[in-house]
Amino acid sequence: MANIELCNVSKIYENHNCVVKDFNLSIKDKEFVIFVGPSGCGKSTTLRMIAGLEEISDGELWIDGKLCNYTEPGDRGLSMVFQNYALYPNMNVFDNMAFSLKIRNIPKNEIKQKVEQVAKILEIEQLLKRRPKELSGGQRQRVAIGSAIVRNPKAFLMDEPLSNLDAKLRAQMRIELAKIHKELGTTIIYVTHDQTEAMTLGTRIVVMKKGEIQQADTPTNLYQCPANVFVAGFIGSPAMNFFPAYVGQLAGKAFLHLDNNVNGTVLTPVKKIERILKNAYLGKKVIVGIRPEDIYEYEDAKERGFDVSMNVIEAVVDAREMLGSEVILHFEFPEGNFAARVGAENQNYPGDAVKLYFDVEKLHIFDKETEKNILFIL
Amino acid sequence: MSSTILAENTNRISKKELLELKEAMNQKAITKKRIRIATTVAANILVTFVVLLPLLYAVSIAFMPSGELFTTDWNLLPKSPTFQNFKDALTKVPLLRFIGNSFLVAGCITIGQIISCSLAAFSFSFLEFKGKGILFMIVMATMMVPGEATIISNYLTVGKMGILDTYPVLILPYLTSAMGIFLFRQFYMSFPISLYESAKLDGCTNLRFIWKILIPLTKSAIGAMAVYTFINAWNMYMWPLLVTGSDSLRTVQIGISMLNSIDSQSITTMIAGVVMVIIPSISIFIIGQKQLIRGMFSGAVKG
Repeated sequence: MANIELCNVSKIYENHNCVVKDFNLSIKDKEFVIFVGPSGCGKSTTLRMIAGLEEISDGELWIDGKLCNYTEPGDRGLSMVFQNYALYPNMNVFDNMAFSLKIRNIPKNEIKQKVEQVAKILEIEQLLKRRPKELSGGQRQRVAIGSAIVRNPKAFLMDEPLSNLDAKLRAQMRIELAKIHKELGTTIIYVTHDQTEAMTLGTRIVVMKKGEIQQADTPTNLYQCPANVFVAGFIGSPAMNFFPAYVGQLAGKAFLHLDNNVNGTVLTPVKKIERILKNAYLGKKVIVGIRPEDIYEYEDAKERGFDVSMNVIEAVVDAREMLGSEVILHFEFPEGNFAARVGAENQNYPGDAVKLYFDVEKLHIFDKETEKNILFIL
Repeated sequence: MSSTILAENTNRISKKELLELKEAMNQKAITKKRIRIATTVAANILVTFVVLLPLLYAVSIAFMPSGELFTTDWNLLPKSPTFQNFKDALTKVPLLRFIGNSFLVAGCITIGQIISCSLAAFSFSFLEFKGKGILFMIVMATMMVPGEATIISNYLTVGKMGILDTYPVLILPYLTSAMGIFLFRQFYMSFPISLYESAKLDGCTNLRFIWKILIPLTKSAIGAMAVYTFINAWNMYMWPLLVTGSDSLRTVQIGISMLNSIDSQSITTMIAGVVMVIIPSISIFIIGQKQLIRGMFSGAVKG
């Protein structure tokens, strides 16, 4: 299969518009790498450069130790699944899947055998004689994936393949994609703007913004230890809460004063962070981040055994979202509005004042200037 | 549950009354629809009659003996219809030969334009190269130059090439057209680019892509282009008149005017010739009109 390496790859259009800047990434065999980011962050362009559909303006692309900057798309040995499936409407499913093999002059018997084998894996054997227009969205997607698989490529490139499907089908196809990856053991590079897809499918996620890699890590690391404010805010739904804060000192220990106000809410960071703050940030401004699930109702926190003598605030509920298994409460707070994820049995409604406990062990502190996680800086 | 019960209790008219009301409303709607259709049909018939009157009158004249035409009487229809005019038209000049020539010339031009225009349009819409925009603009700009302005220079060119009074001279200058390139390009613009990219990744060459995927999927554009080009080529007059001298190479449009010049009383013979000559172009239009309209408007709106 394939090792793909991108060294300082850039894409600059004629009007000097740089959409991908110094992209460095090494993709190992059998990895499921996800490019994720907001619209226009250059993720699709990067994928298209790997495929050979866009010229690489600067940098090197190595596939299996071979420089492929100027290799024709058809000779790179990669398959691509497009957002709109890209099935040939004038051919039936069998011919669609067999097209790339026919181009390579593979004997008819072998083609038939291969197509049928792949159709069996994807459970589309009964659709082989149908035209694409006679298929549902999910079936078309399977055929598109089948056409990609049948070539036995070095790696699959997928450009938002599930975004045309409805929510239920998308969830189902997500599971199937994960299964296919496991079964085939191929390298997959997958582009999406949906963070759920990214988190559930990827073995490694590359978060991009304005053409630059923000962080490339496993889903767990990305969630638990985001490299900067952008990644922290992008991954997770509802998004992480951010508060501006000032690092003060009390009895020789560093404290976080929310909203830069010495009289405001005080949070006591855990030892590891406290040490960093004391050494490098005393008297400086930082950004404090906490995920909605790390904020507990006062009583709940007490029951769970947290030390509720500190890090408790009181805020007024602004809005309430009942999601079935949980409730998202949105709070109005002088130092910045925030959201908390609480249990479904919660009975607080807009206008209620609620006492909340912030789990300081899960605090994320970012440098105010660089917006980088202070754990990454030092 | 409680809301359903509430709704059942509040029925204010009986089911029978509701049904009667429905029928009455249906009747009203049907009458309205009938009136609307009748008005549309009547208006269509009237407009069609006005539009087709010259053509129908020409057909009628073609069946009239020449003496009958020049009277002061009301003579929309022939009083003693005759096929003599058609016979005369076919015997006075080699009309069948002319028709054959026209078919050959129009057919070659049509095939040539479809091939050259579709390939040019493919480059303009699928390939990336420097100066693409400017080149396309230049091609489009040629549409603004009237044919009459270039006819002399074209004549001098073909004269130097030594192909005057041959079949190639009738065909060569018309083997491509800016209009055709534009028409195909518009059609290809609405073609999903991902199909091309997918084919490229499959290792498909450009020619194979055109042959296996693009052409089968753009049949309606090809149909439209074929009808449009064939009719235009069939109706060419100035160029064939200028570059051909021998009767054996004349096309029908010139042949018809030759009927007129034999003697001034032959107008019925000429009209008979015209009627015969327009049959191929009309039948091509009738056969291909669906394609023509679909092709002309495809890409105009998303649909």
